[in-house]
Amino acid sequence: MVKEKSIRTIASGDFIFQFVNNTFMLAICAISIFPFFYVISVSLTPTVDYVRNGGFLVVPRNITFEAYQFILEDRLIPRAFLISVIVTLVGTAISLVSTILMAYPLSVKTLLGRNVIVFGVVFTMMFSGGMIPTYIVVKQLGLLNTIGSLVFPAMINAFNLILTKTFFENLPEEMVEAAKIDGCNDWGILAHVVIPLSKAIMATIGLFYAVSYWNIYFQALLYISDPKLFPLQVVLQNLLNGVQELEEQMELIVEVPTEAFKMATIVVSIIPMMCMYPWLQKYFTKGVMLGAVKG
Amino acid sequence: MKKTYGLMLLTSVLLFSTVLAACGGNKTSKNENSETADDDQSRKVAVTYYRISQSQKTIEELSEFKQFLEDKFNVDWVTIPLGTGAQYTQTINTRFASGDIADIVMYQDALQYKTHAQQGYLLPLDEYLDELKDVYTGLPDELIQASRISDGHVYGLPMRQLVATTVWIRQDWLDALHLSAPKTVDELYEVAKAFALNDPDGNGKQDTFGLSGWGQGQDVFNGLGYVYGAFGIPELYSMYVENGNAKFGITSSRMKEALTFINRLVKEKILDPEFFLNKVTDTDQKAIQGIIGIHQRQYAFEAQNRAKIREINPNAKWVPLEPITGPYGSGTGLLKNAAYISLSAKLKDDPVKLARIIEMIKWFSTEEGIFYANFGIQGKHFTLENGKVKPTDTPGGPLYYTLFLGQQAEAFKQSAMLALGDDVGPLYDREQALLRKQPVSIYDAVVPPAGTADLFKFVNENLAAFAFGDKPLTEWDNFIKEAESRFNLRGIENDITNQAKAIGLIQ
Repeated sequence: MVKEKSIRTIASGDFIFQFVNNTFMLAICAISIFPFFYVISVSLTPTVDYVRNGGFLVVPRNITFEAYQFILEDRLIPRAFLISVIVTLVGTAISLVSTILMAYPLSVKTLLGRNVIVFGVVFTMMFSGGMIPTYIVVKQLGLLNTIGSLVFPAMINAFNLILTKTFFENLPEEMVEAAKIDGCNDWGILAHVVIPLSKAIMATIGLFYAVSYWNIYFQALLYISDPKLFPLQVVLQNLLNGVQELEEQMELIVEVPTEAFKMATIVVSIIPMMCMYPWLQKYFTKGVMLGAVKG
Repeated sequence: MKKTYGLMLLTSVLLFSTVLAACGGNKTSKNENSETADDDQSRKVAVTYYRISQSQKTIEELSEFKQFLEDKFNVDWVTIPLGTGAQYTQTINTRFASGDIADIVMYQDALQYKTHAQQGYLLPLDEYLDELKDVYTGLPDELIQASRISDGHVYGLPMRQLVATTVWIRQDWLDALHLSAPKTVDELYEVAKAFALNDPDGNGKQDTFGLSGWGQGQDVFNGLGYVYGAFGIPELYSMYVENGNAKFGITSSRMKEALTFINRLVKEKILDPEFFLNKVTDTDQKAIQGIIGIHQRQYAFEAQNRAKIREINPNAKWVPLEPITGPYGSGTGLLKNAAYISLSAKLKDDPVKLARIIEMIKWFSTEEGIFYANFGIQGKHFTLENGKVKPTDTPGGPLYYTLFLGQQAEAFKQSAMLALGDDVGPLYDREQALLRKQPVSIYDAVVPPAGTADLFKFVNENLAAFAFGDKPLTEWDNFIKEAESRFNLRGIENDITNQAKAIGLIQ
């Protein structure tokens, strides 16, 4: 393979370094992957096997899909899954558009009052209004009990905005000037020059937004009271634990969720995000780097 | 250029739809807080109810239940689940602080209930207590006192009392080692020692322990209440009355004796060394797996896990154990209200709605209401044969948390028997009888004064160190002195005493 070939040509000191380095990196990879592997294998293990092994097993001897079956048959899950998908798609789209529409003007150095606006943005990163005022705002806007309450309060993330603005600032000014000479107005420059050059940053913040919308939990608990509008995370959490303790104290006969069931819920809730990563990874690393080089 | 206009159009459509979406929301959020000053007695009122989330089906999903309730009381019944545990505390506080208060509120602990009552959010219920006396049937007077707050009024109705957990022991291990069930602390020590050291499962390996607990890294009492109970301190927050003053059990000389005993169990490897770190499910698993031979758990432990226990060891046999007696009596826990139901103070301005809600609560503590909450509508979802519930082809319920009020013991027993078989019935009765014998918790009836959390953090760290032998018990007096001087132990006890006197819990 390519690696072997190059190893032969380098000096032995380098070889040792490469060897140690690669081994170390592989070990780190293994450490990161193991918990996930464990989660998957427990989710496929019959409870009795799990208990018999004292809770620790790496490769299941018998495989059962009971836990997944139970989750997917739950009356609320398909609906909650759909809600989560809608929130993620709509939310990410709205967030991307609004972040870009704000970041681009702020990246133009001639904008009047630019520093004041940027200061205002940074200010919200350090000091936030807190939960009660935010709740009141959401309530007064009539957003309680709508999907909007999950999307709009988190529409623009200040950190993502700064990242995007910095990225735009680093685009070659000459191209913008060339577009201007060709007769483009500001909208045209944004649409034809800036956005086509910004796939990396859009993938990056798009992923940030998508993950945060997908994982939305507490806001949903706070703002949404209609179980029909619960996103996936709330329903999974309700299925899982928390309730169990009080239910048991109140002598109610409840089915104790098995370890396999717990692990299967974790898998179900992270799989969609896991599927997105490989597609976005090449933009992602580039985007994070680019945003970070010049602050 | 054309494309640019397209983009502009797109952007404005997006922004506009944002505004539209915001407006559209009004409709749904309105029925959460509808308040119309209509004096018509027969109008339909919307009744809202904050409650903790549940894993079981909600009333909204069971439409015929909801319809039944709404028709019966002429209400729109809206229950709002707001999470569990610490999250419930947070969501409910946020909603209260921003003026959103449901008509009926469920509290999962006395602290939040009493805090909200003191802040004036809740309606005093004293004038309705006569009407609602069914809610209190069978409760000891102290528990009723415990639901008062320091101004002497009652703002919440007790929902359920915590279970006195059953202690389970492996009968087949006792038989294999020719031992009889322990009755005293000394016998417990001997039996547990034999369980740990004499290979009760006959596999030739020393891989068992006598007992374990589930401290979750912070509480040396969890799961070992029956051991500490013999020393008069079944729980971390146990208090006893001495000369009219409430005193913490954990800082008394009894605790020193209890810790001496625990320390001995730890040293001789009789007590599972992970007892302090386990979660309750870990300890359950150890019991099922055959690692421990004594386990404190609720009455349904064996029945719920029977299949798993049998599959791992067909000869395993768990039986309930009578309370262990020691130098200071016996016990497994404290009696306290698990949850409260309160009404919003705003209901004062809407007597029609208030009357309707009182009517509902009253009905939920009658036999018909209790059976509705547990099994559904009689004749439709279940029938009664000689007082025994028989589900029909279309069984309903239980409507967990809908409104569990009144003396539910019989209904709970029936639902347990339906789910797990008739043999849990006597176990349930046994546990109920034990429960009534436990002392009422003073601590759980008051609002803990400032500094209590710090005191308990300090105490917990030290108790764990004493139990594991990291700190010798000769340090005990210094520990008490430090708790007094640095953490205001006596001041906190005095404050609790005053509160307990104000609500009539101690004379």
